[in-house]
Amino acid sequence: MSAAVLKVIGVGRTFGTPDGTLTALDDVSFDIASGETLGIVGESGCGKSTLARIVLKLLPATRGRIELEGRDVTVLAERDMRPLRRSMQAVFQDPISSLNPRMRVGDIIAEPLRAAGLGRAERTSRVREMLSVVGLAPDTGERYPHAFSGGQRQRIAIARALAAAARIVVCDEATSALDVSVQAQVLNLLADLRGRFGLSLMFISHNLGAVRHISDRIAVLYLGRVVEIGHGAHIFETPAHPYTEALLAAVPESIPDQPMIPPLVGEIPSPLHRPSGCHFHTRCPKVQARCRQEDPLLLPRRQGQEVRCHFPR
Amino acid sequence: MPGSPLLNIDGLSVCFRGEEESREVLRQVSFCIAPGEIMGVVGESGSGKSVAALSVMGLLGATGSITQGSIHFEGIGDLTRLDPGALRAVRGGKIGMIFQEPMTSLNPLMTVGMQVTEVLQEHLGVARTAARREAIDWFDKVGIPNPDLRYHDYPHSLSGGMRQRVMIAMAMVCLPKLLIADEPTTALDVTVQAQILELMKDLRQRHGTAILLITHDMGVIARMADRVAVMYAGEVAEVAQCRDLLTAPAHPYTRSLLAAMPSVKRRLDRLPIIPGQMPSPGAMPTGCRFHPRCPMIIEKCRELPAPMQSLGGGRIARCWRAAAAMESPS
Repeated sequence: MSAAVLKVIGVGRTFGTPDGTLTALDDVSFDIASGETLGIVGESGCGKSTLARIVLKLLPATRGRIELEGRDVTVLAERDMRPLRRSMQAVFQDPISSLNPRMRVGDIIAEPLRAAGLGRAERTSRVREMLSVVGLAPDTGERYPHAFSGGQRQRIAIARALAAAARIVVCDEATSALDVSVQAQVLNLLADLRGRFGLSLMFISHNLGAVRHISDRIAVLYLGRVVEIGHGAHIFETPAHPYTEALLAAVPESIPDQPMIPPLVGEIPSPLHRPSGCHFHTRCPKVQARCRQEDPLLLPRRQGQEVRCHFPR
Repeated sequence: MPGSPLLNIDGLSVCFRGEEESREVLRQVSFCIAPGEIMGVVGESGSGKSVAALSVMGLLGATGSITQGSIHFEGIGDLTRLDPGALRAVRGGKIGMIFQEPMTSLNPLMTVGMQVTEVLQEHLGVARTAARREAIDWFDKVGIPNPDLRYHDYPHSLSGGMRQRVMIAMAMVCLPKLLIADEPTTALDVTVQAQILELMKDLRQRHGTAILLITHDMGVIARMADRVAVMYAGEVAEVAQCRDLLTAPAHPYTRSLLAAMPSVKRRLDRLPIIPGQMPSPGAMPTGCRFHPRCPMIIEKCRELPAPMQSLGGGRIARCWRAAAAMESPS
């Protein structure tokens, strides 16, 4: 695969709260290659949304750095960041909050084109082209965002990202608010565009089925850390971390007579008080004495899979 | 279904009054629930699944009204004919309820323990001290750790999973015959969802409580339901035993819905999609309401609404091509 479009290197983020220091992200590193999709999964409180905001430079990291096409964006001033912003776009869960309700859809999509210095006629034709690429009628550009359904609004957000000639799109729960039938439409669209434009995707979701469908590689987060990362098929078929295994077992599938695997006990601990040793030891079905004291490292396992566990499968 | 049903919804139609016109959001909805049965109702937004639940509870609000049909509850009669006071006694007594977001149904200014105690005092007339003891006992039964300490917590200091457990305790204290659960795990993480689903199954086992489980998630249906009603555009598309529905869906909509759900077990190059979107109440298509999106359409689907077809074995489907759908490979 070609060179990394995005490099996340040792990124950490803490928040000061009245109750102490909250560690949202701790030493997170990964690359996303050109045309590659990295899925990021984990439950609430795992740090996946903080990660999206840091990668998009909507929130500074307290440690580490982000490189976009070889440039360290963590040190860039906002003015120098602006041209790079176009190459990194975002699609959020609720597109209505990220689409200006007072602007026509055509103008929303044309915004990055105007910033790039394109003339009016060229902008209009590009907008019509992008609308048809994402499966909307070219004349829908005249209407306002509220006139569209949830799935159509996600298509508009995707069209805007494409108009900006993005290299990478950060999708933060981009299909989570959609009905199953509409989610399938949007997932297929993203997969098509990736092939057609060589787009890279960072696809964050709590929906493991959607992540498996769209991702080449997958990172599993638990309490701010990557506990396992590797190829999608390997992660889903031979998970090495007990947390990944438990997470997958918990997903209800639409097939009859599924064996009932006892659910993981307890809930994710507070990022204010992360457990000692391995952060997962309080819920791990395979916990041993060493796990309570010694913090495991993220180590290579097999076939490019890396896992943070003393006793991986 | 053997024996007489606990709840029998028969030909239920519901309208909501808008500013200019009135819109029918449920049309001729019928299904029943046997005592102790878990009946799943599945559908996408706009299918009418939540309106069906609200109708049973008599919570349609000022703008909604039942225009046709009946809702018979064993030992009580037609719920649609009860006066508001009598219905309130049924609700929280013989019928318990839990919703997607417990925060909106819990009182934020009262400890969770007091809220459960209050239900016991009001509905069952249990004395305060005994009610308190029983509330703590129920917290323990629904898997709340340190129940005597948690008794004094306010809803906001609990996690989403713990709040849902409190709601379940509150719904269960009167040992209802029927628990209506509307998307009870949709806001929860998947590992916590698995715990709550297990808890609900366990409560059904121990107390014989029937559950009307409303969800958009076919996976939740597969794990929980004995029988299933699939809803589309305000109508029941299909009713079947859960196993039959999953292995040989009789309505093309059910088939498409199952196929469109991405699985964690296998990856497809492309997800089979359902083109277009669900019609809204003001703009229902002629003929079968699913026909503009249906992959198995034939000429008469465009003009003639499909009647409910009986397919044997308690299966029914509102589709001209149900028999063909069941036989075609999935």
